[in-house]
Amino acid sequence: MVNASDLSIQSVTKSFGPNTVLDGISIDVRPGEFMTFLGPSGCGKTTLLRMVGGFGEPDSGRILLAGRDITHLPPNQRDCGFVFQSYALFPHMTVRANVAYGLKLRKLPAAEIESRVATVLSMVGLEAFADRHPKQLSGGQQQRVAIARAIAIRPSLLLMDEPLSNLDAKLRERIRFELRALQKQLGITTVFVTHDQEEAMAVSDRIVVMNKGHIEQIGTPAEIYGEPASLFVADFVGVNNLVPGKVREARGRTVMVETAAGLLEASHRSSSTGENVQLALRPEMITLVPAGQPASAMGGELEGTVRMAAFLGAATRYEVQVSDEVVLKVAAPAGSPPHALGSRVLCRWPVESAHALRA
Amino acid sequence: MSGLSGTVVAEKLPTAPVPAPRRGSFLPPFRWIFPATTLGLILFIILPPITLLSLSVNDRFDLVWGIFPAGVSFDLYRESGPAILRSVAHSMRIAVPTVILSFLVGLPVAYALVRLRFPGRGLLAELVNLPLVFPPIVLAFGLMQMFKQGPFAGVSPWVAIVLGHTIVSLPFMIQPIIAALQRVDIAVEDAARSLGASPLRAFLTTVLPIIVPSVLTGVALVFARSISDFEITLLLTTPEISTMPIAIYQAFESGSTRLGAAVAMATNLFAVGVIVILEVAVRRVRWW
Ligand SMILES: Nc1ncnc2c1ncn2[C@@H]1O[C@H](COP(=O)(O)OP(=O)(O)O)[C@@H](O)[C@H]1O
Ligand SMILES: [Mg+2]
Repeated sequence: MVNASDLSIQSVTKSFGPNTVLDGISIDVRPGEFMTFLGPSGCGKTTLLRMVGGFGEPDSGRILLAGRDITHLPPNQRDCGFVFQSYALFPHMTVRANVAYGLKLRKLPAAEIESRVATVLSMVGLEAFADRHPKQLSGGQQQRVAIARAIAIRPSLLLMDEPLSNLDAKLRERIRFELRALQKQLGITTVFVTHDQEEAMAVSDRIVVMNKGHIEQIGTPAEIYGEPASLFVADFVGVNNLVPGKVREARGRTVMVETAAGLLEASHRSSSTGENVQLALRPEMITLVPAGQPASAMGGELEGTVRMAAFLGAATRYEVQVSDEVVLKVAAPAGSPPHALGSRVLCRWPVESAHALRA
Repeated sequence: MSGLSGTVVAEKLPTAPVPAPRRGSFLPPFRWIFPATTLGLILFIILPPITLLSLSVNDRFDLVWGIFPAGVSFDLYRESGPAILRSVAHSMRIAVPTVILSFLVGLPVAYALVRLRFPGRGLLAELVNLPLVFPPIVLAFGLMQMFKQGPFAGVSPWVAIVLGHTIVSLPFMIQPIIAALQRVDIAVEDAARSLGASPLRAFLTTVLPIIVPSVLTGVALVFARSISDFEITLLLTTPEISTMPIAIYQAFESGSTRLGAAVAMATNLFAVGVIVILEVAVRRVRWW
């Protein structure tokens, strides 16, 4: 399909009474892009998504779809497919009638409705269930009907509010990939909402990390994962080594940070000398080697004692005491040589995986 | 005292045999009492109409043996036939518009109470239930004064009675619809909107069909309330309007208990018939 449109959210603000739920949000979604709003519960994701779908108007700001200002259009004039967290299927209609609902409203000829319904049902693998009622389907199947119903109208924009959160973990992971494949096949511009960082990483072209009504970072999954722009993002996407310190000297792309475990080099965005920062380091970016090896040419290195080791199958988790106050968490991939409790080890990491983030 | 019994138990404990599990304790509560209460209930629901039936067909009646037939004749029904038919017709002429009006007023009110937030919402929620706790005679008295003088004077008594019935019937329409709306996912309407439906269309094609069974329950309750109303009709009526309860009352008033019984039986049969049809309909429309 070729009707991919770009979405532009411009300085959108929304308050409910005294609390500002969205504070000057600007996001540009490219045609055909899979964009995810990621953030903790209550950060305003649903409010923003509903606003794009026409359910609620911003206090200020504009929303443009394919260049057209839709800020004040009612939902039925927006041409947005919406998949709700609860699926919101019509319980009194068959699967077929659910999917055909939007097409009938568009007054399409019966033959075309029939063929389009058949097409989308086969896309989601539900041809055999066309004559069932939603109550007679499993949660995963209901979910697919909700998606089929939304894409049947060939919307210029597909909006999904935590569509997988009511499914069990296994199914969630499977539908994740199906969803991603379907979206690429249709080439439809998509905005997806989730509070699950792993899910966001798995499906998205780009991710908007939101916190308390503002944007913390917009970037590809790799950027969000590898270069968190703020302490909030680092924490939210599972960086769990945070070492407090003070910037000693800025050297272009990197800074030297004075920490309780010594002077450490880290990449940074806009830190200046004297600033208080947290040094963020992913457990899986740290390599453990037995102490006493020659120092590595580049990157960070700290010596310490193994305080805890837990075998988790795919990885082994260690806690290494590198100074009186600092313990580093390390995730060693399966197959790497084990380190005994109490043994002396070197923790090594590439400089670009350590980030000095404003505290 | 609790200390004393405590020591007694403590002394006995070592020698006490292990008590056998009591099988009765596995049974649900009310197991023994409910057959008796149910029987009593059935008797007291069924005896009055049986009494009336026997009264209306027997030429002799005594309280002890009255329910057994002796010299059965349907003369009274034949005699009062036209009057009975007239009262059924009058009751319908009032009940049907009452049901329609209750639905037209009750549906938006129920929807607003469940889905919208507006000032005075709590007050309105209390207000719609007021007719349930108001003695109908008080309401009827007030209505009578309103329609006798003031701005409503000169309104047809038919209209006045329908309005009065609608007021007391509204809670019976609104409550089932409120309960049903609360069970309908709000997002269902939003989904219809996103697929291209206008607000009204979204409601009519998604929410309304889902709540139809509850609407029919409301229809049955309002209908029953309207055809059984006595006080409101009595105070607003004119001699030419005689609904079923009014006709029964007039028959008793005329001095004939047996005639009253005949009218009561006939109208009762009709009312039960209509309610049964509605009940069946409610069951039929739960199509999913
Ligand atoms: N209609 C509303 N009235 C008042 N507050 C609301 C309303 N909708 C959302 N909120 C508030 O706005 C905040 C953001 O909500 P929401 O967008 O649902 O967050 P998220 O989807 O990220 O969990 C929450 O604090 C919520 O309580
Ligand atoms: Mg939400």
